[in-house]
Amino acid sequence: MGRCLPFVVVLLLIPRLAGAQTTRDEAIGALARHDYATAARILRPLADNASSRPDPVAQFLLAILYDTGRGVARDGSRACGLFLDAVKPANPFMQSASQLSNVSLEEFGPAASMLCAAGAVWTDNPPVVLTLGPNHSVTITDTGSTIVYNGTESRSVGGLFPGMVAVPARYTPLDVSSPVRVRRHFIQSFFWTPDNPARPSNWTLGVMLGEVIGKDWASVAAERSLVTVAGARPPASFDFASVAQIRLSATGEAEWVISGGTNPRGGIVPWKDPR
Amino acid sequence: MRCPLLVAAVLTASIDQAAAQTGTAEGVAALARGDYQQAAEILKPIAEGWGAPDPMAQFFMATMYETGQGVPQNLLRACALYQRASGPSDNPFSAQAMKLHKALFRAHGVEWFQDCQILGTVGFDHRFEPVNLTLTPGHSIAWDLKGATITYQGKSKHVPMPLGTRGTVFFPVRQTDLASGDPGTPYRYFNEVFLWRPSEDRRSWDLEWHLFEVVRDQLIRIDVTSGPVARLQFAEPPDWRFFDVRAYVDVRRAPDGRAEWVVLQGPRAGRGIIESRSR
Repeated sequence: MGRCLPFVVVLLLIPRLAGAQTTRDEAIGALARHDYATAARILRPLADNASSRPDPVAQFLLAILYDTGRGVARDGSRACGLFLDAVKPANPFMQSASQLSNVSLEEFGPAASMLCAAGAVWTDNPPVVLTLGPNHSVTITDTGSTIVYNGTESRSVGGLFPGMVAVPARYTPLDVSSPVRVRRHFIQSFFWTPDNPARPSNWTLGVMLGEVIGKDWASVAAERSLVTVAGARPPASFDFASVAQIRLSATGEAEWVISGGTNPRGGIVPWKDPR
Repeated sequence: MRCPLLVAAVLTASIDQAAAQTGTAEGVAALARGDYQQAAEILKPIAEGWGAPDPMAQFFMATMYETGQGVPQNLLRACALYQRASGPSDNPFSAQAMKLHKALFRAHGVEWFQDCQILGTVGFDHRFEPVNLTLTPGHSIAWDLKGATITYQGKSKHVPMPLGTRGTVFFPVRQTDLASGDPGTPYRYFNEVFLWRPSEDRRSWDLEWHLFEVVRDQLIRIDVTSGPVARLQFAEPPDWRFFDVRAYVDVRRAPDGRAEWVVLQGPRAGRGIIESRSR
């Protein structure tokens, strides 16, 4: 057997050497052998509208992966936008891209204009993993969150609108003294929404405040429009606590405050026992 | 000494699937750079053949038929290949094929779509030739893959008779008129559909004989045999001109003048009188 190993190794190498072609062809090869994660990893930068020359063929193929959730988390909104991007005369797949974008637009119905846009730049935030305690963590991605609590997993799905830029989720633990003495786990998710996904000139900040109770996610408050800032990109830094926060109240309870926007408000977050 | 054998076994086991995948990848890459001729050359046999289903090849070949890239535009073929690509599968191209299949249905309607479905089932190498056979002036029968349409006394009636399944190869429909000896209806009109039905590996082919009599606006099926009249081995069935079905079966006048069917050879050899149903 030992004498044969070099022979086997040489045979295994042949297809790799012969297959050294363009990057896009490598992605097509990965699709053909059902290696969708590799295909998506190669296609994403080629399809990126922020690159100097986004490739409509890559956009078409990547749209199919987002539409079916193969190699990436399923994202119908992103798939639809990429299908629209792929409708370019230079693309041999133009007609199919056009038909498939129409199918998506039709499925979205009245929400189509909000959910599907051409030319959007998608930010791929790495997942944020927050450890809340022993056997208790939450993972937040652009397409949803997963809570792991004493070995059980619960998922919730949410997505970003085209061109939206999510600020990495902020974890705020509060040691409350009322109504019981306990540590509560709050998550603040801020996101910037562009006025135009393809050519943004200003950005509106929104927020979702939530609490992780055991394996469950409880919504506390949300506001779509805290403040609007001009610029081609969202501001690099921002004092988020000046527009929304979660804090201890004077009575030792958890309190939320939305101070930005046209409707400032706030209140105590009622205590719920984890089930 | 065992090692070369092992290597050979590993190689042959993976080579078929790997070859198809390489072909599909090369074909789609050719399509992506606009080389439609090469793409069609590579993808057509993979998509239209009867090897392991390849939804990716079928999907892209279907788009080429739909747009006329590398092949003459043919929406029915596009539709049929979308159908074959959308079978039960977790392949991402199956889901897209299903959407475009549905879009063609919505654009063309039920009747057109039936043709698509039959073509998707039977495949493109069925060799069926639609035909319109005249029995007497004003009395005729037209055959297509869906069945027969009989026109009699100014009215047309469709009789569904889908005989094709996966990869069936047809002979042209054959008409035989037999003198009846009845002065009221001097002839009886028989239609014969011959077809080859392949085994799973397409190396063995069953010859089937479907015999019908046309009586007024009725298509009467004659029970001749309960199975194929012959089983033969070939890579592909021969052209009908070079295969004599009359060496196997016949419909003819018996010595007493009545119509009879005959299976001339094989395990199902036999004969039977075909009773007249003209009254």
